[in-house]
Amino acid sequence: MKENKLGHRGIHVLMGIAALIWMIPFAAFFKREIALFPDGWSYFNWTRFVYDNITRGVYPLWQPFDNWGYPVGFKIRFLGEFNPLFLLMMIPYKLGISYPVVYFAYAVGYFLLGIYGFYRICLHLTQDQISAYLGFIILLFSNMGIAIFFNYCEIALFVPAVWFFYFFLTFCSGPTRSSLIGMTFAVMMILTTYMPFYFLTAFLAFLVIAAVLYMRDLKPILVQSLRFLIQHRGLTVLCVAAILVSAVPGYITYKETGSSEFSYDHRKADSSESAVTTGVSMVNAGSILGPVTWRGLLFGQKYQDNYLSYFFLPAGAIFILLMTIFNPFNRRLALCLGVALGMFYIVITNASGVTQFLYDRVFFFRIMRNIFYLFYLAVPFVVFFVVEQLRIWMASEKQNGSISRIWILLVATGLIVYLKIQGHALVSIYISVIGIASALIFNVQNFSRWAFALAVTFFFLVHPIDVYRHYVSNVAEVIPAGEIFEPRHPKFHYQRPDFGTKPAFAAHEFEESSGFTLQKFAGTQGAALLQNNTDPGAMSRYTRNKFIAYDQTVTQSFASQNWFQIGRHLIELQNEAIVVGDGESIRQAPASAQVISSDSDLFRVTHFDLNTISFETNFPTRKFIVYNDSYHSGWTARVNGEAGPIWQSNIAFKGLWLEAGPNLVQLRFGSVWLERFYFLLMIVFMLVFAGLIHLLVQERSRE
Amino acid sequence: MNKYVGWINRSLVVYLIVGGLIYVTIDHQQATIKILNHDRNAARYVNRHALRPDVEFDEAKFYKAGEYQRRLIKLLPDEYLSHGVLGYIYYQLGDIPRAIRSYQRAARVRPELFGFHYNLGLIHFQNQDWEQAVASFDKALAAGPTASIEHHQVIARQMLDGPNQQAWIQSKAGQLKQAYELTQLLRSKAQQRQGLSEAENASLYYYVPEMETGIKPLDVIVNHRKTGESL
Repeated sequence: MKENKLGHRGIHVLMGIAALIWMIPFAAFFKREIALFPDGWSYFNWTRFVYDNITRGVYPLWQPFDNWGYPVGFKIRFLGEFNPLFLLMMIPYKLGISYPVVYFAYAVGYFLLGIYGFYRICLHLTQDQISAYLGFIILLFSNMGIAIFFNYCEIALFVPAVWFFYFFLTFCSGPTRSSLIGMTFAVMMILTTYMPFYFLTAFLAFLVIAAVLYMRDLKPILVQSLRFLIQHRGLTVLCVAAILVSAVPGYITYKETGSSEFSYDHRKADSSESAVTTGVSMVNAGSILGPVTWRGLLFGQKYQDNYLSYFFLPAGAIFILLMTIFNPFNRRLALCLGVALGMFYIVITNASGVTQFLYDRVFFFRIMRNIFYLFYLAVPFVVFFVVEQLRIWMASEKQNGSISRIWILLVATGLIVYLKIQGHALVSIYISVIGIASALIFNVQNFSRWAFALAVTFFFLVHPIDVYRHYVSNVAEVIPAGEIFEPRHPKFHYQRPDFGTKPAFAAHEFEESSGFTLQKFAGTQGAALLQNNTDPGAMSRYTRNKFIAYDQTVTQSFASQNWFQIGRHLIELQNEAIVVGDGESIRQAPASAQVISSDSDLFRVTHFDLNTISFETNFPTRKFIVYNDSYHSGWTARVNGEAGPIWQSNIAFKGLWLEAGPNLVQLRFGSVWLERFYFLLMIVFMLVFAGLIHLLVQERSRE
Repeated sequence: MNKYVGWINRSLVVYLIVGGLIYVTIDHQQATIKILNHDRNAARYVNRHALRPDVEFDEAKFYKAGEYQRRLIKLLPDEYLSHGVLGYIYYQLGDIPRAIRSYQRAARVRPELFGFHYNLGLIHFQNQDWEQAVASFDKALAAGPTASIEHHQVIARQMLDGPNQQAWIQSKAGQLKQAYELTQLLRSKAQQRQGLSEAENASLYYYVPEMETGIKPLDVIVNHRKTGESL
């Protein structure tokens, strides 16, 4: 290989061009001409939900517009909302840039940042620009990017995971403040995503295998690292504190969803005490076998659908693996293979005993529902394996010889013949294999590194672009034009839509549902009881009303419910709220409860946002007000400035007694200090990120 | 010594060791069943397409159903019904040589069934391979309708309720009769090396495979086939 480099600018120009080429097949998604897959649409929506609230100074703790209200932390965790880049994109959104542009600029930009991080890892390890560039384009044109349109939480984990490994490797090579802060920041980001335990699994596998393979290097690395940490103890303490503080949101979410107050039927929890655990049957159903098969790597790709996101590599990578089978095997290859193999054994679930073994003994395997996400973290190891194989081959003195050329020709011919016999291989695979083989046979890299880089780019990309083209055409679902994405604010309506109806809301309002859902229900236990045991069409005649005033209450246990009677009691607005606890009755109460359908002198909502609602009452008699928003122990009430009890009422909702005369009531979910803590945490993330950038720039300018 | 270590320390050796490790440690049947289950709906779709004129052709589903049947055949090599379905799939996908091979395998396992010989004859006739067409039609005509009707009765009992069973069997018997009559006509035309435009539109005869009735879980059926235990 020629010693002259492509140049720092040159390689970045090439990477920029490759990134632009990557975007072309997916243009219809970015232009909102075709729909995202339902999960992808969910991330799109939730990001906007967070933006709309945070820009108004409210951190979402509760979602009042769906499933009659539920703690929303676990939905927000999917997004990694403390990511400074995520937060910075609120600025263009607030300034009026179209939301889809903002979202995709962030989503794609963040993804590309992760791929660039992988480039830095490859460059650090191989010290060869071409190899690192190859790693960049293979990973970019793998299955990873499909997650933008499908399961974005995988990108939210992948990016900090990649940068963690980069800073970890550079720290082990020679500790610096930037690498320590880089690792810290990456861990902070991972802890505030949905799936820190997926990363933990992959990292532990990496550590164990690396410790075995690099045993002799372990001691000097540990000594060097400890010395650095002690010398910079102030910084070390700050980093540890930042990590601990970052663990708080995840811990709160875990406690919230793990409590018996939360219901998430879809996960088929095997514990009645914790909705967040997943039954082993659900884990086994998340196997990668089926969506991914050996044949699927090369055949039938004309019919690609969303399972493309599970695992895909350009055919050129497979050709490289075949071509390099006589390469010597080194520790790096063993490490990559070991991690990938470890993840493989887990993600094939009950086709091996590994998953059951871990499920029975390691607590976090009981909360990892989509176990195939682990293989996402294995893909960079597989790609580096390919890169390292090619690097070893190209560095070998024998690769210029005629035997080497004959071997390449044999492998390429053999692969082409195999593809032809099997059938259903895209033409682009043939072009890719022939092109790469030709570039290697004719030693293009020895003539010009630019020519080789361009040849590699073209022949590696031609196959995945073809696959992406088929994928997009197979999943395309055209969106009617005219969707508006104005910034929204929460507006209180006294009534919800009836079940089965979808009334139009103003573009600047959050849409509200009837509460009943035909999809995965996530919410409070009481709400789940209503969802599962009552007829939506009938019960929505009750739940459509947000506020109802009763004169008396009656106690009822939730065990052995006669749902028909309860349903009738509620729908007929019989003037007795059902409460858990001591009921109270009065003589000569009116037969019907009073539905509050608008502001009046008796009742007026004075403030409403996601986490709080305030209202004034002035009833002539004592009333039990039921607010048909889910009951949860995290709600507190202040009546005329004094704390007061909230009762679980009418199975799923909140109720409280109010005396006759004027009352000022504030109901709040969570604590205002928790909201302030989350905003403060966002500032902490920004500061750590800014510090990291500053140190990186400083160290680079010294070099 | 270093030379020998150098020979062993090759990626190919590692791949073989890892491949061997995977081979001995994973549960092959469970793995195959997982892969099969993934494409099971596509296999069911092919049945619907074959049995109902209102179901449109979907190339992607046919391809996946073909993957399903190929894997099932690896598990159960003599599963003649899967060979038959695969022949149908290949035919619909335009892969005639593979369609012929699949029907030939099915006919080898169950030569007494009319449909596989008929399908082969039809395909040869459409390709104007007259001698092969005549040979296949001869075998089809020699195979009486009894075995085919019995097969349809088994499937009807698994798929349908009482009154619907009889209606379905009668419908299949009617199709069988029509197919016999067409076979005689096609045989005569093939002998005269005369094409027949109706043959272009003639439908393949279709046997519904047992394991895609959806009534039994796949692993139960697979175990039954291997051990002979009753369902």
